[in-house]
Amino acid sequence: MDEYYLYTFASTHAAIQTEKLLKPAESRIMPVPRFISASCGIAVVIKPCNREKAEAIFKAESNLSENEYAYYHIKKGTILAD
Amino acid sequence: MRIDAIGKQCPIPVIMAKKELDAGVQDLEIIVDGQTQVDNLARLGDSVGRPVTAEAFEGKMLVKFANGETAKVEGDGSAMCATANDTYAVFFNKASVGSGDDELGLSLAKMAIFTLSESEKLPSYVLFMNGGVKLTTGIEPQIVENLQTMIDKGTKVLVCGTCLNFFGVKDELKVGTVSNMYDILGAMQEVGKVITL
Repeated sequence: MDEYYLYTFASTHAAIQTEKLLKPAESRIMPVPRFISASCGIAVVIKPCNREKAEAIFKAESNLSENEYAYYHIKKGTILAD
Repeated sequence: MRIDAIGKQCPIPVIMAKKELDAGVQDLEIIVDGQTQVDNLARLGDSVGRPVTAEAFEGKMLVKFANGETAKVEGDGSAMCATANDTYAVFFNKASVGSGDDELGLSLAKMAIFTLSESEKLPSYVLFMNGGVKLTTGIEPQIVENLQTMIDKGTKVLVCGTCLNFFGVKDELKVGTVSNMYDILGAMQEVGKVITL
């Protein structure tokens, strides 16, 4: 898993809800990587091929406000800015 | 040269391999049961300067020693065997990690199996009993993918057949081997520790 898109959340409930919401985009979950946060948390992972689908669903259907989640593009264990 | 060490427990595979390595045999391959044996052979290979590569082969593991000169190491190789404490099994007896909330427990199980599949030291076995067998029936595709990754690297996944039968999901098994009390308990007795999640 060299490259992926990652959502992290302020709450565990938001993580579980988002995973379900993004199932059509083959959402997966993993522990929040250590290089993002030392605290325990559920992150939702999206493969690059499903990125557009996931972003469209998330934009249209998620009711999370901007301070309730963060979105990352990860490549080889590094956060890319985009 | 290919050695058949299927069904052989340590120290037999390392002794068989070391004998050939000491004789200078090149293109040496050995077929063994699983990750425990692969790890032992890897230690042997490193110690004599003939490192190994391993790949899944017809449900077993095929270990290949690099060619080259074999460094002299005293003994028959049995010291390379993992002490029991080096090996472990992970036991799921429910479709959850811990108890408290089933949905959270399932999410934790998914993340635990993902994390195991990415770890450097894989379990020798992942064992499923009672409600734990549901994890192997594809209720979560992610779990099937990650267990398959572990199987490809040598971990054995044993699933209680009685339990699949009880829940009426025997035909829905997506990953692992249908197994029984003898084999699952045997696996627990073989490894150094059993982690129940």
